[in-house]
Parts: sequence; C-alpha cells; structure tokens
Amino acid sequence: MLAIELDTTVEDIKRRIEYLERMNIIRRVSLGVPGCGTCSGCEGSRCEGCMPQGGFRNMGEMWEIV
Amino acid sequence: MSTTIALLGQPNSGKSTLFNALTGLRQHVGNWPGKTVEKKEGTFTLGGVTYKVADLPGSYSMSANSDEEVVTRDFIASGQADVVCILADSSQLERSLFMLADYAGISAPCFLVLNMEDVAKEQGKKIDPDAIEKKLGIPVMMFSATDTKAYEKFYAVLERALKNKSQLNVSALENEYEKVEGYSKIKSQLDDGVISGYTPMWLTVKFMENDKVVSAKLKNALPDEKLKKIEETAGGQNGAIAMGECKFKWIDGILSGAVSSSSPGVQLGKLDRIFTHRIWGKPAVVLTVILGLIASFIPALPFMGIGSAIPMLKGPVTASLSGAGCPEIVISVLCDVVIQSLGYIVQMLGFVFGVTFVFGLLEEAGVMARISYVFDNTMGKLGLQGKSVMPFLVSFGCTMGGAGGARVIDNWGQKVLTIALAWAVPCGAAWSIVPMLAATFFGAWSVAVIVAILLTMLLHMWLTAKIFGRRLVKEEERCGMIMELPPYHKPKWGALLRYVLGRTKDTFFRVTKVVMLVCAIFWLLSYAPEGSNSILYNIGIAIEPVTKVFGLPWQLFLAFVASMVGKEGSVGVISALYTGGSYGAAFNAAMSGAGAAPDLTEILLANVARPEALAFIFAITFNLPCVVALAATYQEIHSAKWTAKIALYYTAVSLVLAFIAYRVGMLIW
Repeated sequence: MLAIELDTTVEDIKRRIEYLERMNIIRRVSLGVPGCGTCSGCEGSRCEGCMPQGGFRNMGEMWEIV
Repeated sequence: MSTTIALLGQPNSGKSTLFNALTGLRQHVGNWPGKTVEKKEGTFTLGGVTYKVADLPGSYSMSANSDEEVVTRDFIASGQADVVCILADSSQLERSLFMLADYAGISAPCFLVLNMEDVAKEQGKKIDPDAIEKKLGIPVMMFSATDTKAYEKFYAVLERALKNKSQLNVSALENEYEKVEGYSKIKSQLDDGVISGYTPMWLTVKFMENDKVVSAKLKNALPDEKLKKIEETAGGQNGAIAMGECKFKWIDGILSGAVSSSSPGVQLGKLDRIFTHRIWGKPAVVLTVILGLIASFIPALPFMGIGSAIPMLKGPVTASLSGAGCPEIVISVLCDVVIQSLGYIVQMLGFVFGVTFVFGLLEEAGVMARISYVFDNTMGKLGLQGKSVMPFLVSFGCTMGGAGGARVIDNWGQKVLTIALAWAVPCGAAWSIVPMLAATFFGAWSVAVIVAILLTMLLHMWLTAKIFGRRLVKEEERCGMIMELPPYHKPKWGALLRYVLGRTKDTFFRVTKVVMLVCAIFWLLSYAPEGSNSILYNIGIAIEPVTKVFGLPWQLFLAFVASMVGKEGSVGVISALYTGGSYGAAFNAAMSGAGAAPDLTEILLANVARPEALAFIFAITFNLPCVVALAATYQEIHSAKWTAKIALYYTAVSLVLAFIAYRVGMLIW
C-alpha cells in the first residue's frame, strides 16, 4: 500500500522502516497483552479467557514514532 | 608475517559460513576487550601465506547503536585489517548494501562479496557484478558461501583486493551528502586525521546522525570554536533521516542497470483493494463487523434452545420436592434462583461462543489487522496509538484485560484515554446478555439493536476522545502508525476452537458465580411474607419516579445498578425480581397486569414494554463495565481522580443513552 503510494518497491519500504527503527526514530510496537489475572489458566501473557493461545498473532507489525 | 582479513556484514549475510569454510578447525573464540561481545578469529594458509581472519560481530551498520557496532568499527578504524571483506545478501541487495554505504569513508582497503547467489537466482534476479564493480571501484564477486567449489574465485578476488589496496569510490555518495544542508559546513571544520582511521566525510555523516560516540570523540579532538560551529549546524533527527536517504539513493544508483528481476511489481489483492480504499474502506470494514455479529447468532441458537428448556425443570423439581416434604423456601431458592439462573447462563454462553468464534476467525484470517489499519488514521487524530488496538480487541472479551493491555502504552495521557475508550467496548458479559435480551424483546429486529449498539459504541468512543482527549493528549503527540499487514491466513481450526471453548468455559464459571450470588441476594431482599412488602419493593417504589425518566422501571433500574458489580449480575436481579416465588403480591402490585407465567421470558414480555427494554439494554451496555475493571483501571493509571471521573462519566452517559433509547422506542412502538 505504502509502496504503491510512494511509487516504490516493498523492499525499499522495508529497508527504510528498518533504518528508522535502527536509528531509534521509530520503534516496533509490542502487541503483547498481559492477562487479566482472573481467568482460569491466566498467567503472564497467556489468558485463555481474554485471548487465543500465544496472543493475537495475526495483527501484523506496527511501528510508532519515538 | 600474516595478512589480516576482517569479515564485515549484517546478521544472516553468511559471514559465519564463510568464516568456518575458510578457517575450518583453526579457530579461536573469546571476547572483545572490555565487552561481552564474542570475538572469533581463525587462520588459513594459501600459497605459503598465512591469513588471519577476524569474524566481526554481525551488525546492521557502522553506527554506535550497539556494542557490536562499536567493536566492529573500532577494529576496522584501528588499521589492524589489511583488507575488509564486506558481505551482502544478493537476494536483498537494496537492504544489505546499507552496510557498504555506511562503511564508505573508512579508509581500509575492501572488496564486496555478493553472497547467497543461489537464493537470488531462485528469485529470478540477474546481477551484473562487473557493472557494480565499475561503479564502486573495488572488486565485486557473486558468491555462495555454502558452495565449496566457489572458493577459488574468492581467493582470486581477495588477492586482487590486497594487491591493488582497493578503495571504495565514494564520490557519488558524497555528491548526495553535499545536497544536505549543513553537511559541507560541518565537514569544513574537520581536518584529515582528526580522528585516526576515519575520513572527515564519515565523521560528518555520523555527527549528523547524532552518533554519540563520534560526537564525544570530536568534543575531545576539536577546539571549542570549531565544536561550537558544528554543534550549531547539526540537524538532530532530521539529519539522520537525510543521511539515510542519501545512502539509499546511492545504493539505488549502484543497482540501477546492474540488477534485473522477473518478480511482478507491487499489487494488492482484491480484498485489500476494497479494505484499503479511501472511500469504501471504512464502510467495508463496518459491514464486515456487522455481518460477523449477525453470523455469531448462528452458533448461539442451539445454546438458546437448551437454555430456554432448562426452566421447564422447575415443574417436576417443585412437584418431587414438595412430595418429599421439602420446605417451600428451599424449593423457591432452587427453582427461582438456581434453575432460573442456569437457564439464562446457558443462553448467554451461546452468544459468548458465537461472538468469540466469529471475532477469533476474523483475527486468525488476518481481517482484524485490516480493521485496525482502516481506523488507524482516525485513532491517531483522536490522540490514540496503534497500541490501543489490542486493549480494544481484548476488551471485547474482558475490559479488565483491556485495561491491563494498556500497560504497554508509555505516554500516561494516551494510556488513560485508551482505557477510557476501552470501557465503551461491550465486554464478553455484555455480549452474552444484550443479544439474549434483544432476541427476547425484538425477535428478528435484535440484529438492528446490535448494529445500533455497535454504532453507538463508535460514536461514544469518538465523543469520549473529544471530551477527555484535549486534556490527556497534546496535539503534537497525535500521529498515526506504520503498519505491515499480515497475509491472509487459512484459520487454524484446532487453535481457534480451543480458544473459543476455553473462553466459553471460563465465562461459564465466572458468570455462574456472579449471577447466582447476585440473584440470591436480590431474591432475599425481595422476599416477603404474604400480605407485606419487601425492603427492595419499598425502595423501588420510592425511586421509581426518577428511574422512569430514563425509561427504567425500578426492577430494571436495580438490575442496572447491579450491572456495575458485574454485567452478569443484572440477569440475576431480573431473575430474582421478576420470578421470585414469594414476591408475588408486591410484584403484582408493582406491575399491573402481570400474569402468572411459566418462564421469565414470558414474564418479561408481559411486564416490560419494548421502549423500556431498549432503554435497559443501552443502559447496561454502556454502564461502567464492572467493579473489577474499575480497580484494574486505577491500578494502571494510578489516579483516583481520573478513575472516578471516568466512572461517573460512564454512569451519566449510560443513563443519557437510556433516556434517548426510551424516547426513540416510544416513537417506534
């Protein structure tokens, strides 16, 4: 999508994101959600009552400006 | 006398494979002095000459972002290496040549190895190393470190680089740098050899990139006057971005005409063309969610059937227990509290199962990521972060989990705002009660009620963000995210079913405890001997003139109050107040025209008007989620003032929404 808008390649977008991340200009967003602490089997980032096993894995990657 | 070769490359560029192939068992592993970074050295002999090989730590660039990068560049600048072998991954040259671009300006002789030739060929890439060599001025070769037959070629290129002391041609790159404001001014202040091993060009670039180690070295090496001049010119974060752009342009210039690929250009799939469309994207996403909610009714149907059949047990149970001489109060508790609540709980579980299944499926398939993407810009404008997506998503299950999920948001204001908005997302308990009540009162129109709730949720979140956002998040902190969408997946049915069943089971135990407890308390409060009124009835009648303003009879208002403890609790209250066996006289007085009905659904339909039901549904859906979510909110934001503010706001808004829903209902029915 971004590659189409900027008339470039996916590889170009990926290397630019990597550069900005390495230079601490943007950072990868952690999508880990701690469990609610009340469900059965709720420990750390594993919470059967709130999310699938291993968390929400198919939400893609996100970066935010530092 | 030996010759030292330094192997330089990004992680996974094949450096270790090359190192192992060259040195075999003649390796030594230790640590770099004063660092915890692994130091690998080895030797090999070729034509009577011993070559010492230093496998430098894998690092992205020559910046000082990690110990590995500092060790790498210090070793090269120290002049210990006679030649530097720079490795790049042929399958992704646009990215992996960044190391070469960052190396440019270091005076040590070097040559370039385009490794993983086989992978590039598989991708249909054709690379012309001679064309690249012409532009760079150093030996360049295609290579596959795993191919033992390719090493003769490697040795030949190595000898050529050593013989010619080949230096990288950086003029094209420097031309790019010179276009950046401030570059020439800073460079003019730096003399050759100001820091040994680095050229003024390289030092200028690093200084503009805010490289702390280089800045500190320059501080020691330069007189105050010169230092002041370069510090005035430094471009901060923009300098780093500009330098990066120059390097990428230089790489593109090198690859232009030297690399061709048979891979097709960027194309979006049909679904993504719709979801990411500027105009149709949002409607498509909203429609997807609505269809998902409608679909969630299908798996709920069997549960509803079983749940509505459970109260039929009341007759046989009453008969058999009466026959056994059991006291009336025990029979009443068993039938009006236990059996009645159980029927409701099973019906509720159907919707928990359905909603979890459908939303889990959307997440598994990668659709949920598209939903986040479509609303990311809006979220940024409201002062939220992309991280807020997860708390919202989790809040569909449990608001407490959503509040906990906001822990990953560093900015306090954004965290408070995220939690405040997560409260507007109907939790699992709401999704279990609301569709059931909607189906009871509105039949096929219950879908319209659910859609109205969803739209109200979005409006509520927008309004809440507007009200609280101004105080919590400054304008300059508001920005969108960069997102990489996952490809669409075939759902893993086993994992999905385990999640859905796990959540349904968990909800069953949690809901049962709350519903039974609240139902029992309210049943006791509503219990009164024949001919007298219960405590609850007296309170209810007293407050009803006020509660009626919001379209809520006193029984439903008490259920609304109970929903603050836990939304499931409201079902317990309804169950106790509308079906309490010994409550009959007071109940009938309160509800003129109430008939003796065999189950709660019929009693509700006989005694609660549709506008009142609609008001109640909106009131409990948008009421504060539960006391535990309230505690979790306080725990996360550490502000009693803001926790109270949010709680009062939600209570007020839920009553206003009930008032509006009641009036709208009066117009319709």
